[in-house]
Amino acid sequence: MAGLLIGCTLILSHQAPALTQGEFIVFPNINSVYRDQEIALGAEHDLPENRTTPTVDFFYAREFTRLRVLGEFFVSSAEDRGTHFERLQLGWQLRENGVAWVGRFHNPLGYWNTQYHHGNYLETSITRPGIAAYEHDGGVLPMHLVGLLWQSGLRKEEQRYGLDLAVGLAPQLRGEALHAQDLSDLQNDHESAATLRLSYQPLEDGLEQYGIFFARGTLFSRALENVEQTIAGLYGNWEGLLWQRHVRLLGALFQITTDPGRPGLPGKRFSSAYLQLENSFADRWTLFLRVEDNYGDQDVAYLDALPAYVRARQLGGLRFDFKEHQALKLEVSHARYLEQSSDQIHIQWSAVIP
Amino acid sequence: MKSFPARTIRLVLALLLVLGSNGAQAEIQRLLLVTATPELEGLQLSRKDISRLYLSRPIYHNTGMRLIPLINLSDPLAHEVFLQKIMLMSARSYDRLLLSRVFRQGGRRPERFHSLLHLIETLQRHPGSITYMWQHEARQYPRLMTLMELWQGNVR
Repeated sequence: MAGLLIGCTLILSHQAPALTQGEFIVFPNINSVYRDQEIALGAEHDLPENRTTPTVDFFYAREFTRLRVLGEFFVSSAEDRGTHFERLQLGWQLRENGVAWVGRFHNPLGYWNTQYHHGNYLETSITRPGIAAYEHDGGVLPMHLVGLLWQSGLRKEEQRYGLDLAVGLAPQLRGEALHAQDLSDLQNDHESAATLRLSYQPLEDGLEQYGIFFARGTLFSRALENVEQTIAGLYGNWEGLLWQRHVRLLGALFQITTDPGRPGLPGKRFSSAYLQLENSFADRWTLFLRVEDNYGDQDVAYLDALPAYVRARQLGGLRFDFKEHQALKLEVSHARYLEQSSDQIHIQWSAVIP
Repeated sequence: MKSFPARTIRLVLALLLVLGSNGAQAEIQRLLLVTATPELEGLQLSRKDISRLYLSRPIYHNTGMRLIPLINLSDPLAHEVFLQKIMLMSARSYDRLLLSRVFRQGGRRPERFHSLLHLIETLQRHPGSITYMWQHEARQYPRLMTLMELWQGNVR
């Protein structure tokens, strides 16, 4: 399977150089994880002692004057991660800094979800913070919506003020995981959600960014008789020289209120935060550390229904960039779930073609 | 006829080489923004405009023509100067930023050219396309127009 995936990647990416309108990018990955023990998290999420998973993310974008098309198709050999249309968006550029999209898109919920997503090569670390995990990977927030997305920005000299507004169908809670609307297998049982994100960049095309976000929605669930979810948070991404070292600091704080419709289960509020520190050195190496934790997450019925959610984690890792667009990453972590905890080593090769 | 001794010839040649290299060191290089599209004559772009254009943001000429940025990799030094003086970032940062932007919002990355001939052909074939190159290279192609001087200095 791995050979087939990588083979497809290499064949599809070998295009003759020409001035075309479209952009086709392939993000191949091979992820390996080694745990100190197998972890049984529930009926749907047993984490094996070790596992190697090749994945390929195919990205295509094209512009037709003001019309934009963007598609992302994710292929994985892991049954629980699925092969699916990650994004399929049709956009209309209304003005220089404003695009209206319709389709399946990444919910602008904070920074991590829109900045990286499946393009693992772009991500310094291997794992995502638990609070930004994908729905099928133990995530507790709606990372994908199907509906309308408005993205716009206001330039003021070198600065940029951004606004993202999303309205659409939210994931549903089925079994012991969230499931976003799958475009190849449309389901009726999805309720709606909306997200507003305001961002500020001191330099329009710089990496430094700060923002706040607010989201509200309903997650369809038979077991909990739907869950009303309200999310508020803030994030920051700073890069610069600190003690003559190239340092990056990114973090986010989420406050989440979940209110199951089922009688006898009271609404609860909990908070989640992560902070990641990165230090690049010798041009190709990056050292990174991350801590993430939850507060007030005890006896939250909604979280108890999602046993694969990582509630706390401490990790350290090293990334090595080589060739033009390839990276090798090593990550050592300690993760805590609902009742269990685990020491883990992740190793990943990732690339971008072309 | 008495011929010059070989030692004298070598000395003169070495002297010429030294003088030649000193001359080259003092030579001022000019990096130009060029196009082969007549409609773009007189186009005024700020450094920020060029930076935005090369980060895949749409920039239009007042005739409604969209500008197409082309990356010139035929001379690594010209590309390096362009990144340092116009984009204000390293090659690795530029690649990552561009990739990240296209991955998030669509659009496409500027086409890259390792061959100067291929680059010139593309400039002539695609209205609205622009690129950067050294003045002495641009002079070899009469159909190219200089839009502006991006930088000048001694690069040796």
